[in-house]
Amino acid sequence: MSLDFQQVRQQIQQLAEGAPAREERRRNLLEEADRLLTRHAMDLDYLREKVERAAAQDQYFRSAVPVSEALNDSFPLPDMPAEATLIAADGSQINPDRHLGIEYCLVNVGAIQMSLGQNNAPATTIQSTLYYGEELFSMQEKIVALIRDTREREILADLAEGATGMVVTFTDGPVELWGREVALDEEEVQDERNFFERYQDALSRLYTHKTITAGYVDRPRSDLVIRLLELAPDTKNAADARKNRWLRGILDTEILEKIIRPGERSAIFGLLSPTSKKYRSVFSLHFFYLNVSLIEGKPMLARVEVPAWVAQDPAMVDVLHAILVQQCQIVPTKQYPYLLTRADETAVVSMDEKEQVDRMIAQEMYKRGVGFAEKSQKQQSKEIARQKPHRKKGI
Amino acid sequence: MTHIRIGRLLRSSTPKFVVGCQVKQLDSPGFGSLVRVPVDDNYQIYGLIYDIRIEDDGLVRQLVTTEGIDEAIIADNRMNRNVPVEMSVLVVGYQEQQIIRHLLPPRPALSLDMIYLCDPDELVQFTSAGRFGYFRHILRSEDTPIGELLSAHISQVYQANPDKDWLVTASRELISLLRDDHDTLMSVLGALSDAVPEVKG
Repeated sequence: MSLDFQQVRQQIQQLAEGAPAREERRRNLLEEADRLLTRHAMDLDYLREKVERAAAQDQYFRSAVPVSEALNDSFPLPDMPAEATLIAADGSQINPDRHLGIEYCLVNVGAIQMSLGQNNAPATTIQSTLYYGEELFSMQEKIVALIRDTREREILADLAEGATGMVVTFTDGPVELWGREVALDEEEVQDERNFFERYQDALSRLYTHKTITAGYVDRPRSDLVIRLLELAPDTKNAADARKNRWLRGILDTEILEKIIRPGERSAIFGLLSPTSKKYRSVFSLHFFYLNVSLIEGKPMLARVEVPAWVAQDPAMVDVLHAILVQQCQIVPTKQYPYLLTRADETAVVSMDEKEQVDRMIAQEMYKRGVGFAEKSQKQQSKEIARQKPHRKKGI
Repeated sequence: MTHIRIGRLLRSSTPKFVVGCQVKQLDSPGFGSLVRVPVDDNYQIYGLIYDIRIEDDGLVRQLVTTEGIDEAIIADNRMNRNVPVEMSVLVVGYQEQQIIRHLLPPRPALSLDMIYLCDPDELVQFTSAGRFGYFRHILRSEDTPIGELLSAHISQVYQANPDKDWLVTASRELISLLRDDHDTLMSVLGALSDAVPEVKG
């Protein structure tokens, strides 16, 4: 046992003592956010102008941007298309670990493709890529994540190009590549630039193929609409929007789940972020919230991120809306797109598989008489300490 | 000759082993089927499937409670997912240097060894070697539906080679082996006459 429960207990008591006051404050803020949403629902130009001013003052400002639909509008569940090809992709990785004897990293991307209205089993595709040697010199974990995200989008583009008719693709998580704005050194900046170009190239192929593409954010904790509402009062100065987070703690879902009924979607918003300028024209990012629950009183909101070519095409939005809600009904207790569950299952690299790769590399090295460093003492100690007792399994 | 692969060995001991396969591989083998595990060129182990178990997992458990599952989703779970099917096999003999023995093998099969379904010729070849010595392994096996397993096996042999003499000799051997265990004998003969009506004659 490594936890000092005596110390934790005191802190838990302090936590609980402050809870009623915090809750009261949150309730007041939530009511204020509700009021602002109603009052400024149609003030699209006014809010857009305020967002632009805030962005001009602060390059790191993030917010929703009104487009053309009232902020508090909601849209009913459209009919399912009769035919479409659905493709979902996900990725996982083995990060480079300097404590292991052999340094490598691996990116595994899995995709699953099914055709609506057909009974045959969906097709799965897996692409596993090993990175090693000099490639690893600048390979920080965030670059590996960038490679994974790029490969996800590329596999979607590859498969979409091979499909006919209407194609809908989605991944878990946003379309926007996250947290790339601060790089460590020049080499890393160059790596980021290269992979971002490949990412945009994949998006461009999806656009050329008229593919409906989206990023699905489950249980979103974003406050992009809230940030927009923080700018709404006349008294609030757009210049210090990021510093003056007076509705901090309130989430978009908390105000929108009262408006979006089962199966409905919210208005479409533009996405302003530090990376917005990288996604221009048809690629500029938009999002809407989707209540994937069909049960009254039990909303389950997801955030769906789409590029402008989808956001600006009502027919594409309707197809995406219908398909995502239908996908979430396949396992109603989960309310998460079935194909994303399967894409994750297809892509995930288990610990056993990782150990198998370690062994395969070690074997090949031995065969060629190449020595490699042993695991670090730190890694060996950790493994011994965490080893579970072996259970005997009967036949 | 077509060799039907039915899966790979998950775990084994001298008298039993367990084979893992995917649901889509489950077409050919059945309860009572004779299977073989070639361990090397001169050594293979024979066994009878006495239990087939289809494991669930979280997703299957969630889907089970869903109404009107799409056929494509069912096909996906059966064809693509690694939902394992486990087949328990009772070892009934082995072959070494071309000689089939109805004895427990000297060494068990190894993890990931491939398991094949015996074709009718192989089935007849195994059952006609020796004098039903492998019945002993079946009769002393615990947690095995002995009567059902014997009747399924004998029925499959009879289908492969409708030799009434063999059927009669096999039945007599069982009666002899079970002469001190009236309950089991009745259960075995009952199951056998259901599966192979000819045995009554």
